[in-house]
Amino acid sequence: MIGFTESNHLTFKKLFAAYGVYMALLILLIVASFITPDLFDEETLAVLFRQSAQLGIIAIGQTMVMLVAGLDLSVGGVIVMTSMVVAEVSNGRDELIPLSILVALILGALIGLGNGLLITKRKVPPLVATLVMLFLVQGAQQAFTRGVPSGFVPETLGIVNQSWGFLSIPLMVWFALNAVFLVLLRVTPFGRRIYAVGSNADAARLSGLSVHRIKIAVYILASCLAVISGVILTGYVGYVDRFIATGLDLDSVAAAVVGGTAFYGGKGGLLGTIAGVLIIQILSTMVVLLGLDAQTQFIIKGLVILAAVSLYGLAQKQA
Amino acid sequence: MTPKSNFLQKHSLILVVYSLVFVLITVGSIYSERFLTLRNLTNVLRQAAYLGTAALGEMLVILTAGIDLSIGSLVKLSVLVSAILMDGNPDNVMMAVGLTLALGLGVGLLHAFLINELNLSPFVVTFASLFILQGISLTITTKPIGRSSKDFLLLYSQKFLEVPIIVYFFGLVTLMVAFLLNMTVFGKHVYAVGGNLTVAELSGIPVKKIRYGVYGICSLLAAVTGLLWLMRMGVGDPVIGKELELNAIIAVVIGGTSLFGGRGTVTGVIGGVLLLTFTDNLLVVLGVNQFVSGLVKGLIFVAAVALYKPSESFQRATA
Amino acid sequence: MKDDQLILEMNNISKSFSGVKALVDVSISCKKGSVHALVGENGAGKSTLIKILSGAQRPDKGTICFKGKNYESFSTREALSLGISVIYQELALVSEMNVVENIFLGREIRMTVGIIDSARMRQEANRLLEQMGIKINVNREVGELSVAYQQMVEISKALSRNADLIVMDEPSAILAGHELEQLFRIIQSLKDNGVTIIYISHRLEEVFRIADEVTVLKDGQHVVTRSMEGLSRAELVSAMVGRKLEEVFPQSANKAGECVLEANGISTDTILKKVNLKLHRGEIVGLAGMVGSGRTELARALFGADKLFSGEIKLMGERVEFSSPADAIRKKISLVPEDRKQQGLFTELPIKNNITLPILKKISNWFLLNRKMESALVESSKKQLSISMASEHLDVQFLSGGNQQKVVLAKWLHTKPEVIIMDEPTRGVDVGAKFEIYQLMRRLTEEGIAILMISSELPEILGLSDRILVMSEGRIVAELEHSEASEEKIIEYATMGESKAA
Repeated sequence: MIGFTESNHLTFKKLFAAYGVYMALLILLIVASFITPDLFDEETLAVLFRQSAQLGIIAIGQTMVMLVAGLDLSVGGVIVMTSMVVAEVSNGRDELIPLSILVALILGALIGLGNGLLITKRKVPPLVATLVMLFLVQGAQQAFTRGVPSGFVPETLGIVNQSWGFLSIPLMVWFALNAVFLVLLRVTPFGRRIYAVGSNADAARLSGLSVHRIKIAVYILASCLAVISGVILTGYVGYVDRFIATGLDLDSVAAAVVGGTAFYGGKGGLLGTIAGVLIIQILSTMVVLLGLDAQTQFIIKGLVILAAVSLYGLAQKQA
Repeated sequence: MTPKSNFLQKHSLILVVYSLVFVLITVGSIYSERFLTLRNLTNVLRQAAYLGTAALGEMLVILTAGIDLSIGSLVKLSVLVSAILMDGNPDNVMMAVGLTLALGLGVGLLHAFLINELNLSPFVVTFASLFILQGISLTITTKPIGRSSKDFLLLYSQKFLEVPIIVYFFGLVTLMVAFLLNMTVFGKHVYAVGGNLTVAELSGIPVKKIRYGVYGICSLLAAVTGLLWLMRMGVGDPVIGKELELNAIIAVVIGGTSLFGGRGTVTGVIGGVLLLTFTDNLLVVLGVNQFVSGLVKGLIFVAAVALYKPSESFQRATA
Repeated sequence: MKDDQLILEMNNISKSFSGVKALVDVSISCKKGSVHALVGENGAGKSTLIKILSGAQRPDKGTICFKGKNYESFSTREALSLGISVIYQELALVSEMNVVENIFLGREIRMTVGIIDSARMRQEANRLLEQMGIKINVNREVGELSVAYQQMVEISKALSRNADLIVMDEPSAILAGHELEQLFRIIQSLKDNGVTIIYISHRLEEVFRIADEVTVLKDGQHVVTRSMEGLSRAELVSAMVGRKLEEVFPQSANKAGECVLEANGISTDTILKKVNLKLHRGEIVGLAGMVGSGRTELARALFGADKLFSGEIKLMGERVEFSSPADAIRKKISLVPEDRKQQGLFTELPIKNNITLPILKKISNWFLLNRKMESALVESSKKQLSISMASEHLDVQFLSGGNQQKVVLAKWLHTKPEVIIMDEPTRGVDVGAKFEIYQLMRRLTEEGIAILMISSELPEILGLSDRILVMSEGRIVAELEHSEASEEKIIEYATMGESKAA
């Protein structure tokens, strides 16, 4: 049995929390098969999955951060930083790709560490902490590049565009990362501790957990996942773009929320987020296929978030 | 603890903020002749009106331990709506201004309704609203649209006693908010709701009405900010309002307002707004490379929040 | 006394919570302008009675007659407008707001529509405070005031509402000695102004000092109401105790071994003052004392949850320093906290996640949890503690109180502790599970574990402890052997004020 809260106790609440979002996904697919059958074209699916992967990878980190009752608005900044670092360090040379990614990962980890330290040691609310970190990262990028990003993206990085049918490299990376982090969250001590810290930080401390260290680790992981997403995006675009990640940070929060992860921590998980990512991307694609103004996807996202949290709230009351 | 050290501790953030503003002004006047001129100073104050009007509204919401993430999107929508309605026709000014303000108020009341009646968290509601309002704006247009009437546009540059009238207007808004918070029953209740919701309810304070009030005013002031932008730009530009809510939240928090509610002053928030605006201005006046200015700003932000003392711990230490 | 002088009569009040009787046919009446003390052990029903009086709860049965009018029940707001104000230990103030604002919160004096008349409010606040004979700068934030002054702000708030009856729920628990004097003075002046006061306190000295009449409650029943005149301390204590022993306590083997845990003169920022303590292998030490006497703080200090201000803790004769509970757990100390749901459990997580949280490393190979091993451990706990659960995947919130407590115990037993500190181990636990927990505690001591048990239930303390320590105002004021202890003695020590303890 699959249930991301690891429970066999089937109350309505649990059922809804675990499967509601998949039922919604199923219904959405059925509706799509009637009104936008083009959605199931191989090409459309390939694009859909690649976009889902880009969002999905950072949504993994966002979900973990939200599980410890946090929030990370700096992931978009980390993605842009990654694309600049990769271009700058490698300067188009293939053999320097690993080094450039390593540098990006180190910088990403430092940003995550900064977030974590502000939040735990200085008790800055996560919203504000990650926001000022975002501004700092953006400022540093501008100062470093003087507004005009230099360097070149190595051609080999274009390998991320490789695909076999709708099975593209980003999709496989997303898949693999989901597998890794599902395992991490569900069957490792660290995963258990994440849920414990988010569910009741007081009890966690009294049970001997180092709450601060766990939170900091989670923010570092979230930043590193953003770096991975950034590498893929850079390879896909093939050049450095300051606006490469516009909206991705908020979308990752939206995906986690739609997937049933709560802002107050300890509740939800990756399986829900995967469905949340897919729902958001399918809806966006359908908007295009229906010939609607592409911008209406924002409205739909907002309504989906409202509907999701209202339903989760209702289900909670029911139980 | 002596009352004096308590006073210092309580108001330390405000002192720090104003000292920083003072330092900026000193540095500015030493390094640039242009800085300490009436022209430049009034210009800075006029710029401050844009962030400040929005920040004062955001502050009201934050004082009740809420948050409004949607004001940037609402400013965007207000610029567009007012520009379209006005369409360069002087006869339409009153109508356009009235309808834009009504739109703002309506959005705010809707936020409060969802928070009050559906029991949703302010964060989720206004997060969803951010998407929806942005979606509506961008569906209307992605290019500049509509036109301000000439008279309305002139208001931006009009001066009275050498000072732009927008500055007077901002002063008036500030005084009104200060009056509301300090002299009225509503204001006292705003602090009580954010300070201790249980006590507020037990004391018979109409908590729901207070929420309608603060979210209504917050969105109303966002609409006002939109109108100010129309005065400045002359057209409805959909670029306006990007990340405004984030800057507003930073100004409010740097100004010593607690995100946990119940603590914060208009003086502090104005200090936060001035700090942000003067930083921008100084970097320009000093001819600091515009690319470095983002980094400097980021550093100031991070430093400011790292010094941030949550009011919570202040309470516990003294209670 | 004539009946018309009675301001309050509560007649035959009964109230039960999910089958448990909190109050049975309790009647109490107060004379106008008097101080009426309400005493009884923890759990005697005092707070339920007060909650009914304040309108926070409705009685199942009975009537309330206030100022000559009969009511079946009323809402909190009605109670306030009738002139009944309750001052709880948890003060109902907004700490970010100043004194004036707090006194008039929700009833601000207005000049015109919506605009505050600050000058008049300040005047009025000053007048109220003056009336009580206190000087506070009314512009100060309440959060900056000492707790004693905060309490006075609460009293002025009640006065500003023209309260005729003020209930004070353990007002002295948060006050220091000299602050108490001031409170007494204020109470006296309130009395002179015709205000009636119901005074709840553990400290009998205070009751003798200021009360005109006293009512004793025990196990939800009314024991006696009488005038303080001619009442002796011994009489009052004996009215409070004498609770029948419902539970059978397992016999003590009483073979205390070597000393495992020793505290020498530990003090904390909270309340502890130079506490000395020794715990031996195989013994259960009962820690008695009233709520707020520092029992929980002592537990937290020994567990590394609160920082020591001075003093030292020795484990097996070796000095140890705990900077966090994690350190204490490594040194084989466990804490079963008082507030199970807030501090002991993750109610929205499955049973197994709760039980294995501190020993995750032990049940993992490399990075992965060995779920078979985990299930086996949970299964063994289930058997050992007879936890009744449908599945280990069940959320803890769906378990009964007794089973929840067993989950907390199971969690700690897997860490193989040598010292277990239990704070109210049987609170909210049904009788059957209670007995099982007692037996388990006995069994653990037979295995050589030392147990420090904090409890408000005197029968539990008396029945189970090999040794009894009594705390009062942050100190250990008495140590009693099992054979010499009695309820009277414990209450005697626990209720004695600072003056005598020193």
